[in-house]
Amino acid sequence: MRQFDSHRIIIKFPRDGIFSTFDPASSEVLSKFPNLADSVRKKGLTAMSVHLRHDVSVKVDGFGIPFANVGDPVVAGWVNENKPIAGNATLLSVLQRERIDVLVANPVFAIEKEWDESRLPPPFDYGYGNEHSWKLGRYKKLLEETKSKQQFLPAYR
Amino acid sequence: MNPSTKYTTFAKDCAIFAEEAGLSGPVIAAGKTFGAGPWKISARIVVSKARDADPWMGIQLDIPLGDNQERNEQAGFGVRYICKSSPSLPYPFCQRSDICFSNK
Repeated sequence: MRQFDSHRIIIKFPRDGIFSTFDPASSEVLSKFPNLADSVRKKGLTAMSVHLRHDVSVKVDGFGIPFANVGDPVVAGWVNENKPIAGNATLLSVLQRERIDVLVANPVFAIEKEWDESRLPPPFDYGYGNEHSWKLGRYKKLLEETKSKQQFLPAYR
Repeated sequence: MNPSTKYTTFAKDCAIFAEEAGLSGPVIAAGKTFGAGPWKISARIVVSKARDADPWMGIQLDIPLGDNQERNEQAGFGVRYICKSSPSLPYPFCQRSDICFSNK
């Protein structure tokens, strides 16, 4: 365990539920970041647009967990009272977007390669099947077939 | 499990804007790579390929709990911790019987 000074909220896109586009960032959007390091600017940044299919929704981790920031009531208001962060955007409205546009600090060719659903490993499966009635023979066979040299990693986070 | 599957997580800092489309409006969240600015929430895109877990693609927002959480602690909210990820352990040592004992 270690102290972790952030309240982490994760928006997970559904598998097979998005399509994404990638474009080089415009100089107009880059002008919003006067302190961006030159090295990052030189390599290039990507305007990425993630579109959700209409019949799916994102899965959100970490939303609704108690939050406090005693020293910064503005931040506490964003999370606990859904007050606008800037313009009309609230935390909830961002989580509910059907299209999420982000500026990524990485060039287009690199993002295109990595942000690729077809390169994801298959959904996780313990390999124990769905038939759990007691039958010694089946379990022995299952153990033989699924034996690994490693333990499973802990599933908690 | 397909041995050629790669389990390397990819993450890059990103910035999110107030308007839904077109990177327009004020910045509401941005990762460290973008340098200092008026925003307070950190953001990055993640392609998570951890072993023994469902892989996912998404956006991670980190909202500050403030000043090392000292004031939260004093106010009675407590301090937030996170689990360190542990390395993959070798399969527990098996003795004669079929029962395995973990060496923890």
